[in-house]
Amino acid sequence: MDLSDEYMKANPNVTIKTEDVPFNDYMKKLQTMFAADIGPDVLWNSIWRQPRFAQADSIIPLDELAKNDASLPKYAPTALEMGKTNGKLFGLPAAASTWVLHYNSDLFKEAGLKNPAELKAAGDWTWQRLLEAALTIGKREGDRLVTQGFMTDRQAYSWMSFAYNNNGVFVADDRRSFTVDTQPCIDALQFLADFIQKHKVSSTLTDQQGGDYVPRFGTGRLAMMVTWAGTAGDVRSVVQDKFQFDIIEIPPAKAGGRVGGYWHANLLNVNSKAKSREHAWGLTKLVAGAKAEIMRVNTGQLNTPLVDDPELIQAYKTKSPVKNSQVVFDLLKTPITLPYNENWEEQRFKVIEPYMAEVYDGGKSIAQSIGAINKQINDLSPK
Amino acid sequence: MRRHVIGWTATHVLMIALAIIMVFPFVTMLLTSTMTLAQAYSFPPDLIPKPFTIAPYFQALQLRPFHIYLLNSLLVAFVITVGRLFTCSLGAFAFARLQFPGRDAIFWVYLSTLMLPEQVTLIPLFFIVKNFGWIDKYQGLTIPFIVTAFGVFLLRQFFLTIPRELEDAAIIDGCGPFGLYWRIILPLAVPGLAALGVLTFVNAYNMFVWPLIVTNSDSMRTIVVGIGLLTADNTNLTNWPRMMAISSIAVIPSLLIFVFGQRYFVQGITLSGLKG
Repeated sequence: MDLSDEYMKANPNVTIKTEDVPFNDYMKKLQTMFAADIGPDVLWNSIWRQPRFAQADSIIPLDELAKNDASLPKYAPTALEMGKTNGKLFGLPAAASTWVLHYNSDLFKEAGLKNPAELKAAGDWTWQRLLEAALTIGKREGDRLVTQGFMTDRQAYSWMSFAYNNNGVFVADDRRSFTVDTQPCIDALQFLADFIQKHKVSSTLTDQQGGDYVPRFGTGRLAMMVTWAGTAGDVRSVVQDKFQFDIIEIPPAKAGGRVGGYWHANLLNVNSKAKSREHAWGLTKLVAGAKAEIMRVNTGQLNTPLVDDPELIQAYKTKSPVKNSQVVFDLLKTPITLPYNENWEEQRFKVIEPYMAEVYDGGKSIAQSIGAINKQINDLSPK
Repeated sequence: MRRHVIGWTATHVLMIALAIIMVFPFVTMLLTSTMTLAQAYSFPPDLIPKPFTIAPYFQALQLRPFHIYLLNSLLVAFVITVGRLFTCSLGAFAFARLQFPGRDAIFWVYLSTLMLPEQVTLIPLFFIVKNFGWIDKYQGLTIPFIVTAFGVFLLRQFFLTIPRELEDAAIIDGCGPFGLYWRIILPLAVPGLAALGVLTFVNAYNMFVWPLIVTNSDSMRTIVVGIGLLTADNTNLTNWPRMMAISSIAVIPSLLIFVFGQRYFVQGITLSGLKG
């Protein structure tokens, strides 16, 4: 890696070895290495696993190192909060992602509708307009959904985003107290479920085969979907010039309502047993910094820039295949509270998403079950 | 006669259908390796490459040193196979032919270790290998797998089918236990050894979790781990044509082993089901 060479040149007594690991097996390898006390000095970590590493004292707080360090990357104001666990900074954020709505502009044009960007410019980008567009563009031939108006997916991020934009509080600022049984959250879930169950303009979760965002959107027969902003690059490499598409924030429930950004970052941690904390910190700043982010953007990884660097922002806007790349910067200013406590994975995969799947499949009535689900989620929160 | 023809036809139709189902993934893998990225992601899926291209092979080979990964896999599989054949045949001979106190009880206890899932032994084994200084070395990749209860069990079953009378003459001539093993039992056990060899080679070649955990550097990686690294080489989108290209190359040794050793492979499965 070029940056490693640069660091070693500036620090001749330091040798840096980098290792890449298959994404799906990264945690297995990392946890085995930490168990055997041979963990890397600097490591990538996921935002919801950092609390466990912090709890086990496997990583060090960076507050003292970051304090008064002029060479710390110039983060957007809300970005550093991402790296905190229980109020202490444990990770420098990098390679962030933002949850946005992707839409097929050509389908809107074919249907004679204003696209979301035009609706937003007119102050009219709301849930109602999203629904109307989905109903107009979505087309069935008998039992077959030929054109999808909107794809309701199985991920908790979607529910959380829609709930926030409906003035709901999915989880409190303590990241442990969930209130998914409040009316705004219920309405958000029902709104998403209705695309599948009532309006029938979304594929079912079974048809989606675990979330085939890119292939489905790439067919040109899916008008709108919600997923990471960086997926736009993947879509462009698949569809080439087959059709025009863009991204926009998920709409507020009502005109003038609040719009939140669900975004999270990967984190760079320092091993508590690092041979040299000073150099581990130096390398951490380098990998999280603007130069490294520019390198990642230029290779096609359209991570949301968290560092306020004009060259990085320009590189992102140039590389992004959509017109409205500005949306990721706007959403950085209004972050949704993230639920990343020590038990979030269990809450998400054992309760929230299976529950969403049952609702979307028509197997559960929200009104009759949401209270119990909220209790289950809260029971799993760390005390 | 008519019933015979109907039965013959029905059997063959069923076998052909099953063969198509079995071969279909391999054919899809080959066809995908010659597609463009856009076509690989088309929905509904396209089976025929349009246009046909072998660019994914060159692109994938340039991304990582797959030739090194492949050589490592072959070397590791070979060493484990030879080691296992030797150690397991010794153990099997002892359990099948020698008399010592607690022989059967020890055998069943040893066999019970097969019930331990890999996840349970992964970290303790990693600790042991780390303490020997074998992390990121060939020893770490091979030595933990040179012995296996399954191999001992398989060969024991085979050895039990060899008539004792064949050893009697050697014993009368003064042949000791090792001589019996080396000169009488081993030559007669070639089919059993071949069966174990084929199974071992294929399993060792396809190992993923352990090589992932125990290796850190590119020079020590195996081909299966290398394929895993292709899942997201620089974006979140898996480049299926490249991945299928490397997989098509990686599968060749296993396929050759199956083609030439399938008789022994089937024999191995049969042997493991024989009563002791």
